[in-house]
Amino acid sequence: MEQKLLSNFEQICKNQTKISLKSFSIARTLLVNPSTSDQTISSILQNLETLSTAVSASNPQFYHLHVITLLCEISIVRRHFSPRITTILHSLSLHCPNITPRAAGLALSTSVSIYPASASNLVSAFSEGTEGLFLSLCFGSCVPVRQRLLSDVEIFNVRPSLLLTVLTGFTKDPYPYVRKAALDGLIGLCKCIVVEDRGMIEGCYLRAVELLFDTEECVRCSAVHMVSEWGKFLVANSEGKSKRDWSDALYVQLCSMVRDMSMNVKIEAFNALGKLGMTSEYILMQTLSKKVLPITKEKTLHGQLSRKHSNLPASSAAGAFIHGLEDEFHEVRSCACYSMRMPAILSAGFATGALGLLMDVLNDDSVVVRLQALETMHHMAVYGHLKVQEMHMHMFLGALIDMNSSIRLTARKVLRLTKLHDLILFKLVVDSLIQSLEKYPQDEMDALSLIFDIGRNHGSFAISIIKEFFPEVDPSSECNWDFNNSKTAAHLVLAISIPLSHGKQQQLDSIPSIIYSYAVTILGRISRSLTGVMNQDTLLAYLSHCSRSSGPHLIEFMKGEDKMVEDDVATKIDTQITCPVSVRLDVVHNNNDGDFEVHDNADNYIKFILANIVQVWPLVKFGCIHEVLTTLRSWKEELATFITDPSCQSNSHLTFTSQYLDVVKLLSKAWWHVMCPMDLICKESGNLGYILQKLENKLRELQHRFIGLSKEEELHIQELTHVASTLKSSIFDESAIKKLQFFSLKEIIFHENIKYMDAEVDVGDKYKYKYKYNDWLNPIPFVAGLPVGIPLKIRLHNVPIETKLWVKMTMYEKLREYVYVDLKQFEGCEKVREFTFMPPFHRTPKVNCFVLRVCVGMECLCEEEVDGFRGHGGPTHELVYLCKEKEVFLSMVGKKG
Amino acid sequence: MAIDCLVLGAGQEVGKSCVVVSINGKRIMFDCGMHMGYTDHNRYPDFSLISKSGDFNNALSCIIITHFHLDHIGALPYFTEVCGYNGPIYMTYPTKALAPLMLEDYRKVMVGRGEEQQFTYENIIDCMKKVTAVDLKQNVQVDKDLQIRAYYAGHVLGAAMFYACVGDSAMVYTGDYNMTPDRHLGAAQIDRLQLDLLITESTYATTIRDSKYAREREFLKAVHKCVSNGGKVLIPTFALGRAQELCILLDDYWERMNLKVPIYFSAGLTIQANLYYKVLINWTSQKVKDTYATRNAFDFKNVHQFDRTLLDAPGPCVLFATPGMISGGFSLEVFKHWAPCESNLITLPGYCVAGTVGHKLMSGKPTKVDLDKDTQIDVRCQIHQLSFSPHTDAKGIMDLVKFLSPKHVILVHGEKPKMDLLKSRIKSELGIECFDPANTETVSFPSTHFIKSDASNAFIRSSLTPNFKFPKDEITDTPSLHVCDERVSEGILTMGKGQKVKVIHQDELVTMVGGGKTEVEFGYCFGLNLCSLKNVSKEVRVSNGDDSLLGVLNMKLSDEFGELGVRDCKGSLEVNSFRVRVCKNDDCPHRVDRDELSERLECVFFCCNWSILDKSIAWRVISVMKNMDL
Ligand SMILES: [Zn+2]
Ligand SMILES: [Zn+2]
Ligand SMILES: [Zn+2]
Repeated sequence: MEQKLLSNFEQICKNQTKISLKSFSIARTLLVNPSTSDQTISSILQNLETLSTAVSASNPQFYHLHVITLLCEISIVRRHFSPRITTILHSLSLHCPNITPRAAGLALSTSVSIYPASASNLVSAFSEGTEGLFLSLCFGSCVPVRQRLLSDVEIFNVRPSLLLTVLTGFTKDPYPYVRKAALDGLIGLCKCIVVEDRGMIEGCYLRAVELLFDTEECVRCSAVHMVSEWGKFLVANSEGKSKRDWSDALYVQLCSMVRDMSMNVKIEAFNALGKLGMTSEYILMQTLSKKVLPITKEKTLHGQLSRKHSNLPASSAAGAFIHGLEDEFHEVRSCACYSMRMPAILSAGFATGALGLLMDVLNDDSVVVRLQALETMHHMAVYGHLKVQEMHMHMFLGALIDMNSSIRLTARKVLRLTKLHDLILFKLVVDSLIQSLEKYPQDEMDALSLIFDIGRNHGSFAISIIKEFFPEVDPSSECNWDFNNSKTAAHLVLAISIPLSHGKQQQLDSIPSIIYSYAVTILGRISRSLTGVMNQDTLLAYLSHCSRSSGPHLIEFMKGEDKMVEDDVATKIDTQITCPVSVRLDVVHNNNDGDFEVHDNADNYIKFILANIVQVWPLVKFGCIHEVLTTLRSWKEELATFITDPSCQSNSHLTFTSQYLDVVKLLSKAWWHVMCPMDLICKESGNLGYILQKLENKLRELQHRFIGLSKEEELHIQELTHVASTLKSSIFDESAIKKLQFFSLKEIIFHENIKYMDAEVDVGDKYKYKYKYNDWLNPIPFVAGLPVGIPLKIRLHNVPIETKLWVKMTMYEKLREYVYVDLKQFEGCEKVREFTFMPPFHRTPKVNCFVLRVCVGMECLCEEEVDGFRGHGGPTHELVYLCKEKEVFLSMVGKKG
Repeated sequence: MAIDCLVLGAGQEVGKSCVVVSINGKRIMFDCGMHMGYTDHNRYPDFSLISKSGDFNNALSCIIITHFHLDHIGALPYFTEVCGYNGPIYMTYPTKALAPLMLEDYRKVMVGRGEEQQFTYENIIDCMKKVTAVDLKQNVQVDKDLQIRAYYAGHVLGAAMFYACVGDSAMVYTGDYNMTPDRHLGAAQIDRLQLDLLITESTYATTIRDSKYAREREFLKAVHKCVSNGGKVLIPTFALGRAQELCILLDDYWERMNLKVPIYFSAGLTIQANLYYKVLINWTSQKVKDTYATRNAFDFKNVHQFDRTLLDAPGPCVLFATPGMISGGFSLEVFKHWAPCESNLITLPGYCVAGTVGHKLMSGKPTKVDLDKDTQIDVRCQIHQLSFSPHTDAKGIMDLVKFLSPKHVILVHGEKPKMDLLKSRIKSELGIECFDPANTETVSFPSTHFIKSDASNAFIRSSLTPNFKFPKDEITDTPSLHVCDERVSEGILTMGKGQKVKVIHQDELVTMVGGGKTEVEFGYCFGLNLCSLKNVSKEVRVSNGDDSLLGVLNMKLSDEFGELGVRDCKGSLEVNSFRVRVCKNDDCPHRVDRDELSERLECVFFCCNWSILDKSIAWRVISVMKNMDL
C-alpha cells in the first residue's frame, strides 16, 4: 500500500505540466501514517525538492504554498529530516524571489522553528537573513502574513532594539489583529529588554494607554496587559516622588478599565490590578466608593499621550471594586475578589472597607465567587488586617451553614484566624458552629478542632460559655442529657481548650473539673478532631489530669508539645492554616512495645527524614510554605514519639534530627518572608526578625550542643548560618537576596558518635528542704538587699569537663546575674554528672516576693567575644543554653504564711 | 447634512417617551409612550408636530420601541390604529410578546375607572400585527440607507438600546437601561461605536448608588429573621421584573441556607410571567443563562402555588402577591389578614402611587390604615422598604457616555434640575456637547458626512503597506516617542473638471497634472481671537492694523523658529515656503471652522499656504499660532 501510494505520488510529480493537488494529499496520507518508513518520506522530500525548483521555473506560485506546507508538516512529524528540510527551504528562498508572501512567511516560520535561534553555526548564518526577511514580510502588504509573523515574533530572534521600534509602529496598524499582535509582542519584549532610555519606556507605556480606547475588544485586552507590564517597568525605573506618581497613575488607569463593556477586558484589568504593589491610600479608598471622595476631587495623575484624554482624573478609580464585585459575570467577580488581596495587605483602612463588601459577596449565587471572597478574607487574616465586626456576622456565619462544603471549610479557615472582640461575637460564632455541626455532621473533625482553636485564642470567653453550659449537662440537674450530641461535643472541646489557652488563666478554677471526665465518654470523637494537636493517649492523660486537679498551669503537662506554647500569634498563623493531618502515626504506637524495634525504626525514620527533607526544599522556593510546614510538623511529631531519654546515645540522633527539623522550619519561614513578593510589608515588621533570631539560636545550639559532629555536618550547619545571616541583611539591603539565588538544601548524612549535651535543673535541695519542691506555696526565703543562695540540683549529660558552664539568673530583661560553675569541683563522669549547686543571687529587690528564671548555659568559645557581658564578671562569649528556663519562687523572710 | 432631534415626550420629565430623530434624511421615532399622570390630551405626545397633514407614513421611516413599559409603548396602538400610521415598527421579541399583556391590562384599568376608551382590544391586536420583532445585535436593514441594531439594556425583560445609522451618521437611543446586573437580568451591553449622537435616559441623574449587595443583604436578613421567628412575609410586587428578581434571590438563599419554609406565588399573572421568563431565557442574566443547561433558574425549587386556604394556616411562609402597591386585588386581601400580627413582615416596592395602601405604609409608621369609610386595619407588622431599581444611576450614565464617547449627548427621561447638573458634568468632565431639550423642542447639529470617491491604484497600494514614522514632537512637551502612520494622509483629494472625485497618492500628483514643474500648495485659513494677540505683547501698543498684527506674530514666530529665519515680506510672513497673511475674504476656500468663529466679534483670520516639503514646519507654525489663542 505504501509503495503503491508512493509510486502514485511520484507519477503525478513527474508529470510537471499539470500538477494537481492530489499529489499533496497522497503525500499527506503517507505522512500521517506513523508506520510509513523513513525511506518513503525521504523520497517524498526528494520529489518535493525537484518539484520546488521546477515550480519556480514554470508553474504558478500557488504551488509554493503547498510544497512549503507539506515541508512544514514533515518537519513537525519527522524531526530528524529537519536539516534536509532546512536546505530545501533555503534553496527555495534563494531561487524563487517572486514567491508569495504567505509561502515565504510559512517557509520562514518553519525554518526558524526547526532550529531555535541559538542552535548551531549553520543556522546563525541563516538567522542574519532571517531578520531581514522577517522585516520585509512584515512591511509587505499581505496582512495575514504580517499578523502571523508578529504573533510569533519571539521565535525570529530579531534584535530587541529593532523589534521595539517595529512593534511600536505596528500598534498604529489599521488592522486590529495586527495591533493586538504588536502589543503582545511588546509585552513579551518588556521582560527581556534592557531599556536605558526612560523616554522610550514612557512612550511605550503611553502608547499602550492610547490603545485602551481602541474600538476592538481584543486590542483593548492586550492593551490592558501591556499597560500593566510596561507600567510596572516604568515604575521600577522611576525614583522618589515620580515613582509614587507613576504607580498611582498606573493603578487609576487600570481601574478606569473595569467599566469596559467586555468581560475579557474587565478580567484582564482586575488581574493586572491584583499584581500591583505600591498605591496611594486615597486611591485605594476611592476604589471602594462609587461616590467621589473629597480627597480625590480635582486630583489628576500623570497624563496620556493623546490630546483627547490629556489628563487622568483620580476619580476614574471610583468604585472600581464595587463594580467588579457586582459584575454580571462570575469570572469578573472572582477576579475582583482576588485582586483585592494586595491592597488589603498594603492598607489596613482598605482592608476594613473591603471586608464589608466581601462579606456581602458571601451572598453571591456563584460558589466560585463566594469561595474567592473567603480566600481573600483569609489572606487578610494572615496579614492581620481582618477586623470582623458584629454587623458582618449574619453573612459570615451564614457561610458556616452553606450548602457547599468547600465554602464551609474555607469559612472555618478564616474563623480560625479571626480575633473576636467580645463575648457576644464569640457566642455567636460558637452557636453557629454548633448549628453547622448539627446540619452537617460530616464536618465534625474540622469544626471541633476549630472550636478548640478559638477556645485557646479566647480563653476567658470560653470560660463564660462553659460556666453557662455546665448546668445543662450536670447530672444532678433533672434533664436527661445525651452526651453524644454535637452541642455537648462542641462544649466539651471548648472546655478542653481553656487550660491550654494563650490568655490569662485567672478564672480556671471556676470550671468544674468534672466536665473533663464527661469528655472522656466521647474520647474517640474528640481525639479524632484534635489529631493535629495531640494523640489519643496524651488526650486521655490530659483529661484525667484535668478532672483530678482544679487545674492551674496545665500547660506544663504538655511536655514536648512546645509548638503549642512556643509560637506567638504571628508565627502561629503559618503553622495553623493547615488541615489536621488525619493519617497520623498509629503505626508508631503499635510498634512501641519492644525497645529494640523502636531503636531500629527510629534509625530508619531518621534516614527517611534526612533523605526527604532535601525534596521538601524546592517547595519552599515555589512558595508552598503551608505544605512544607505541615510536613515538617508531622515529621517532628512522629519523631518525638521515639524520644524517651535525650541523653541516651540513640536518642542523640533523634534529638539532632528534631532540632534540625526546627532549623529547616524556621529557615523555610524566613525564606518565605523574604522571597515571597507579596510580602513587602512583613519584612519591615518584627515578624521576620523574630524568626531569624530564633533560627540563629537554634543553629548555634546545633553547632555547640552536639559533640562529635563530623566536618561535613559542621560545614552544613555553617552554611545554614551563613544563609540565615544573609536573609537578615536582606531586610535592609534587597541586593543581598541575589546571593541566595543558588542556595538549596543539601543532604546531610549522619555519623555514628554524636552526643547531645543536656542539662536538667531542679530547684530545691532534698536535704535542706526535705523533698519540698519550690513553688508558690513553698518559696525560698530571702532578705531584701542581701544575697540569697538558690539551691539547684543539676544533672549534666555528655558535658566535657573543660566546658565553661554558667548559671544565668534573670529577674527581668535588664536584671540578670551569671555565676560560673567549675565542673572540676564535682564528681561524676562526662556521661552523667549530678551535683547540687547553690549560686548566690545578689540584687534581691525590696518586694514581698519575686520570680527568678534560672538556666544553665555553656560558653561558645569558638565564637567572637561579645561586649555585652563584660563588666558583670559574666561570660565573654555567646551562651548556648542546655536546658529550659526554670522558675524559682522567692519570698521575703517573715512574710511567709 | 444634519441630525435634527425633535423631543415629543420625556423631555425634562419622566413619561410618554417619544423622540423623533431626522438623520441624513431619514426620520425615526424612538418610543411611543404615554404619560400616566394625565388623562387629557397631554397623555400622548403631540404627534401633529411630526406632520401637519397627518401623513405619518411618509413623514416617518420607522418606529422603534425599546421596551414594554407603558411610558415607552402606551401610545402605540393609538398612533397606529387611531392616527393611522402604517409604516414599519421594530421591537425585540420579548417586548412584542409582553407588550399586548401590558396594554390590555392598562386598557382594562381605564375602562374600569370609567374613562373614555382610547383604543380597543382589537386595536391592540391589530397594532401588534404591524410589529417586526428583532433579535439582539441583529443588523436590520429598514430600507436601503437605514440600518438599525438592538443592544441589551437590562432594565426589564426584552429592553434594548437601539443603534441606528444612515450612511456615515450613527446614533444610539438607550431607552431605559441598567448598568449593574441583578439576579435575573444582565447589565446593559454595547460595543464601542463611532457615534454622532447618544440619547440617554437620566432618571437618576444625580444619584450614586452603593453596592447592590447591601440592598440584597438587608432584604434577606429581614425575611430570614421574620420566618425564623415563625412570621409570615408578604411581598407585594408587580407581575414582571421585581417578582422574578426577588424570587430568584430568595430561592437561592433558601437553597444555600437549607431553609424549609414554603414560598408561595399567588395565582394569576405572576405564574404567567414566569412562563414567559422561562421561554425567553436568552434575554435574562448571564447567571440564569449559565445554569440553564442544568436547570432553569425560573423553575423555583422552593416555590409553590398559593392556596387561599393557606391564608390563615399556622406557621411561617413567604408570599408573592400582586399588585405591587397594595392598591387592591389579592395583595390587599392578604394585607388585611396579616398586617395585625407583629411577627409578620410586609415589604414595599421602592415607589408607590399616592392613595394606595403601599403609599400610606411608606409615609411614617402608621398603626392603623383606613381602607374605606367602614374598614380600618390595625398595622402591627414590620415594614421593610425595598430599594431595588432597574434604572442606572448617575455614575452608570457617565460610564456609558465615557465608554461610547459620542460627539453629542441628549438627555431625556429625567427631572430638569438634576438633568442640568448631569449635563454640566458631561460637558466639563468628558468634554462632550450635551443638551436636555424640553418637550416639542428640536436640537440640531452637523452629522458626519462622507463623500464617495475613487482611489488610484498607487494610493491603494500605499495604503496597504505600513508606513509609520516616529516624528519628534517639539511643540508639546510630550515624551519623545510618538507614532504616526501617515499612509492615508499621503493621499490627495483631486477633483478635475467634470470628473469624479478621486484620491491619488501624493507622488502621483506631478504626473497627473502634467509635465513641467508644478507646485502643489496647501492652504489653511483660520481665525484667531484678537484679545489674545494683544496679550502676547503688552509693551507694544497694538492697533488693529494688519501690519502690527503681523508684527506681533513675527516676534512670536522669530522666538520659536529663529533658526529657520522668519522673513517679513509686505503683508505676509514667510518661513521657507510657508506664507501667512491676514485674510479678509469671508468666502476664502481654505477657511475652516467658519461657523464657530464667525460668532466671535474680535476675530482675525489668517490664511496660510505652503508646499508639501514644508508640511511639518507649517503645522508647527500653525499650532504655535493657535496656542496664542487660549
Ligand atoms: Zn422602563
Ligand atoms: Zn421609562
Ligand atoms: Zn483665507
